[in-house]
Amino acid sequence: MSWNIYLPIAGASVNIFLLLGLGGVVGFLSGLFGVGGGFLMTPLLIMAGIPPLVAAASDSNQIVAASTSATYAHYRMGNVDFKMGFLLLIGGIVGGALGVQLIHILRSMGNADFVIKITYVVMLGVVGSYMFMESLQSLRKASMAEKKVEPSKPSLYVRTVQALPFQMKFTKSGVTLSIFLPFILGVFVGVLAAIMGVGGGFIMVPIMVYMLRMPMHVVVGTSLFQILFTCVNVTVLQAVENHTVDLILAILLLLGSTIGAQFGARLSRRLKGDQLKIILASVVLLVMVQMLFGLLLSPSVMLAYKGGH
Amino acid sequence: MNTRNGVRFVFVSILALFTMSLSCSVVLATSRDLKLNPSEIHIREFFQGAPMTITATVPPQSLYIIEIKGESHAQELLRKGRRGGLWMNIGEVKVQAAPSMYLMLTSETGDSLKKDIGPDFGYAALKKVISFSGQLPKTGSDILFEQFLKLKETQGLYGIFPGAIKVKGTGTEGEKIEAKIDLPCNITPGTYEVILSVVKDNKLLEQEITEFTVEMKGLPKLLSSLAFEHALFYGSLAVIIAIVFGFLMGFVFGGKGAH
Repeated sequence: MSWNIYLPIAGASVNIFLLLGLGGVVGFLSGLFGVGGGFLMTPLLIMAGIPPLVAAASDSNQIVAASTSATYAHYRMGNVDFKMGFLLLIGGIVGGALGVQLIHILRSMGNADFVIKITYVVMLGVVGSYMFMESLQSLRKASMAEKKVEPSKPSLYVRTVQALPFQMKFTKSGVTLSIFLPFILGVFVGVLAAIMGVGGGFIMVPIMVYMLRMPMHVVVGTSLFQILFTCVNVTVLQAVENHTVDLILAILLLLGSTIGAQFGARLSRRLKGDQLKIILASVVLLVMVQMLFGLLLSPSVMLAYKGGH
Repeated sequence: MNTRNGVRFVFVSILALFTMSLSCSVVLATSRDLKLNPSEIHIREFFQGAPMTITATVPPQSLYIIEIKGESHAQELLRKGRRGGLWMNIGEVKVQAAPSMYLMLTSETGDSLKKDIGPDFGYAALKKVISFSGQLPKTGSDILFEQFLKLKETQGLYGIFPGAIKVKGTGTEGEKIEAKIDLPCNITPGTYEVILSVVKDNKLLEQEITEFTVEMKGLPKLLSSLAFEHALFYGSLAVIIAIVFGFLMGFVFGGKGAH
């Protein structure tokens, strides 16, 4: 018996276990780091023979399931800051709309793809390298048990943040911030996510860690909560405007990813924040290197179908 | 109408019918029993492509060509190029009059095929009808045509199969030929033409055309019609299924939470 299944919207026949496995691996990473995993899953689906537009749309549908599963798991562990999540979400929606307009302008100027690719590589490189170096330093410092912690003078960034109006206490995250800060950062991530065509989880997580100073475990849960809403919106829009959501593909992926997300969420609880950051940084850097190779090596075919990341 | 005009009308009509039948016998010969098995392809839940056997009876000692052509639709593609030393999409290209599928099977192979086939079959014939518009390269669209073929060949939608038609015996009406082809799993629903051409000394002796249909059935048909005809319901259904699955897995794997 063959284990291939026909995907009616993708118009392709793909092995069931391949899709379950892909879903499982990406769902695991999603639960572990609080990223949607679109930046990993979509290229993998395209490699499996799924048309780019269908891959991106169906992926966002499976992220809804994985992030629901993982958000619920993190909520039970007390890792979701709903107040912060809503502010970031509102900013993300505004930023997404701005980013779409920016893409229209860039396309009319004829250099949109250049900007998208460069933004992708630079963002992945900067975020990955910074996270990797910072986490490595923290791990080294932590291993020096005898080291004394001396209170240091607050940095310019901290002083600026503290000076902003409408300060609010975010109990779950253990920080007090102006409500403008998460909103503005949400707009920034929304703009980048729209330009790059991804959910933005891998940019949002470092921003929450380094700019909002949230603890890593709360970051993961809150990021997943925000991704859930973004992907619900994307799935419905893609289904209505482009008819590119393949339900069978999404169900097979989400079967794998919801299970994977549970294991990822459990492992994230066992690992230290710095360990999590260093693994995520490594994944981000790997994707950056793979993308850089794709940009440097000449493609085998000089034409491609429209769509995808 | 008087008798003289009536006789003239009948004469002209007979002459016209005779001319039409003569021209048809040159281009499209009488049926040569071109048969397809299966003649209908159904895309169901576990569809992985479909094998097809094509049989016919043809005049002996000729070159036989079978073309399988899908319907033509405009397609939008992205052209890749180098910018700042990096490879990326550099422009949109619209392809017109390209069949969704083009497979050509022949009875001959190698150099003899190239000599006999001429510019009326295969990719040479496609090149005459396919056109490109949009952001074309400065060097012209020839390179785009080559790349378009490459793209379609990698998907299994275009292909040339020399020697795929086999002579299976000789009868009173001519040679019995048979060709077997595996239609790819990414074949799109629609009507496909199968054209059998008999060529001798670079001249088309006979041509016969038949059709087969590709249709979705069962769950693929239901989902496809929902996705295209009830898109909002389909999108909402996809989201609801995802959320329910997500929660379900959350409950199944629930364990001990902090709350």
